[in-house]
Amino acid sequence: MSLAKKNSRRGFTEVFLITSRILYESLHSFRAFPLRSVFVILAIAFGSSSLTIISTALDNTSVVVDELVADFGPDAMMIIGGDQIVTAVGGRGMTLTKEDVERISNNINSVEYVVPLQGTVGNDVVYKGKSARHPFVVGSLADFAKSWDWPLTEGRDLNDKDVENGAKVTVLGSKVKEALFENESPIGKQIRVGQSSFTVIGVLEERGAFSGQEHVDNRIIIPFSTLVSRFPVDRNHFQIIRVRFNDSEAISRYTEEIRSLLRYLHRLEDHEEDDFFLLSSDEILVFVGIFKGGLTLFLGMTAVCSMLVGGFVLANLFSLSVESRYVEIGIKKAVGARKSDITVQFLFEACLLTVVGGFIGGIIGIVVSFYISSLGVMQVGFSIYPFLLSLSVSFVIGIIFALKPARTAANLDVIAALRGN
Amino acid sequence: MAKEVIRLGGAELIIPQSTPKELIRLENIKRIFYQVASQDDDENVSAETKEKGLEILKGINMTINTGEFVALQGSSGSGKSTLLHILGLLDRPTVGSYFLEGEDVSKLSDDRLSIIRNQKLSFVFQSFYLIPYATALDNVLLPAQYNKKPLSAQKKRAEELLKQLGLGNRMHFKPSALSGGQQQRVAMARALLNDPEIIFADEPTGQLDSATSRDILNLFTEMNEMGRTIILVTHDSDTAASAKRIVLLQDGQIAGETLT
Ligand SMILES: Nc1ncnc2c1ncn2[C@@H]1O[C@H](COP(=O)(O)OP(=O)(O)OP(=O)(O)O)[C@@H](O)[C@H]1O
Ligand SMILES: [Mg+2]
Repeated sequence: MSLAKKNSRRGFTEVFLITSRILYESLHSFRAFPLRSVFVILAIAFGSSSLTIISTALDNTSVVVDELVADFGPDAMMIIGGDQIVTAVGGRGMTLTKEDVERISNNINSVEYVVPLQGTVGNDVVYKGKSARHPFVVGSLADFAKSWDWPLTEGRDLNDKDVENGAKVTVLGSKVKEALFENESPIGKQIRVGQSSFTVIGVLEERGAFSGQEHVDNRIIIPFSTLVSRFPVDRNHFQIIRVRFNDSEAISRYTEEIRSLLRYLHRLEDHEEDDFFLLSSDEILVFVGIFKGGLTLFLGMTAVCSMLVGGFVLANLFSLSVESRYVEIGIKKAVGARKSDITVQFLFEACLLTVVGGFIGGIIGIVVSFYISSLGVMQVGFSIYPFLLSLSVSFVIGIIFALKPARTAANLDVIAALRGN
Repeated sequence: MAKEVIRLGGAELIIPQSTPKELIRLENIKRIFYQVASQDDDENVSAETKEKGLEILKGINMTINTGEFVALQGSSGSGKSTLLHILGLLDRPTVGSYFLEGEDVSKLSDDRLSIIRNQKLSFVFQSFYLIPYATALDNVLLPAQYNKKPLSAQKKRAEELLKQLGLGNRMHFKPSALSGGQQQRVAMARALLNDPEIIFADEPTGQLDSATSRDILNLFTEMNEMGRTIILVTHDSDTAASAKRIVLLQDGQIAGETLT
């Protein structure tokens, strides 16, 4: 038989058999090197839990944004008084007038309706000793729920009569309803708002969103006429005007028309900036997109950094491991292990640890995400993708960072390895 | 002496082989070490030596036939281990040709050499070289990892070998729980696992007391009687006396031969 002429390539079964034996052996490396294993697993688990939390958070910003846009209405636009979006709603300049509302309603085509909104903050709402702190008291014309696409869970909406008569009736936001009534039905009950008492006629569905610092559900709706007569608010100006169009196509076309109409009505010179802000769902998307892009970048960097830290821990521990295992490597080569076998062995050992670390980290990440969501900071819908993402990133980190130590081990000279240098 | 057995009808004819089968032939093997790795006498190494390298083996010519038990004997530093490593395909000669079973193996690829080591050669070293975190059985099974023979059969064989070597009740012990002699037996079981043609041993009794050494040497003699070729390196003439042929190595050259 010929020693030299035989092909040294392994056949498929041989590769499969040898690789699976090496894999099986590397399963034992956990027991053989417990300290190394624990450190690598911890480091990777740390990175992968942050990766999971972060990707869960990002996953859910899209859920939140979709809801926001749906709530807002794709065919609606908001005009906010004042010149900057960053100022909180109450603190903005009062620049929108009754005339603005009428002219938009009459002069712009395809406007379905225009509803102004004026409100005040700073009054506690009280019912039988229970109170809701400082809800936003909104003054509205008839059909608040309909015009804001904000369904009622019970009772009825404000109607024209309420507004004409300045009736002391109110529709509660879900937060206020919960604070005052818990599971009881509030319809027909009397509540105190500041100095006046109001009869509850309806309850709004929960929206769960935030507007600045404030929860949008922490509000009560009363007739506009009642607001201006009972509370010290500016009766000639509005904070927000909501405009709804017949078709969503029209928004972009009429945005500029509304802008120039308002600039004309507000007598702004060419060099002056708008003293109002136009917000459509498109702009919400753009704004959220920028915000989310920044968030992704920042959180992504954080996750990548923590995974890299895990990777470097792995690389260092594996380099040390190779040094302390010269004899093992030497003897394996002496009995027939090839370079590739040694490389594969160390890569298996590494990936085993990183995948276990990634798994543990993924679980921790999901648990922490749920915990954070229970604090009400973000909503978590369980999704397997962040988990799979962090598992596969862990695997890749294992390969990348163990490659150098594995190659070092594989390239050791048999004799030098056996001598231990 | 290798014998050929021919069956003719019921009778057995034992014919002494006229021409012994050549297993190994070395032609003018030289081994020169170029990098003198930070040795204590670094400063004593002249610049000339550094450039030309250290010639450790200075043209070795020898032939070894199948079934021989050869001892390479020589004082420390004479190049015995270096020669053994070349013979065992763990190292390559700088100059010269090495014919194993008639084929020049000095220029084969690393992977090819791995296959030959796995299937035809095996090693027993002075310091055993067992993997500390593996059991005796797993150490013996190490060569089985790198070929496609079914594992169950190899495992059975490993267990039988350990039993034959008196370690039947220590199979699942880690090396640290075994005596030196027991560890060397594990190493010998590992060397026998793939039924090699040649067993190389480098001072296999160097760390053992004299009684244990005798046991181990007897094992080599037994293996040789079963037809395996044994090449044993030692500085000690008593140990060398177990072999049938002693090759004396001196300063990288063959200085003489004795048949016992
Ligand atoms: N990799 C190397 N680089 C440089 N010199 C080496 C190398 N390996 C061996 N030598 C030198 O070669 C010489 C012979 O070494 P070798 O190990 O073959 O001796 P030996 O006959 O086995 O001795 P001992 O009985 O002490 O084991 C020594 O002088 C040693 O320093
Ligand atoms: Mg030696």
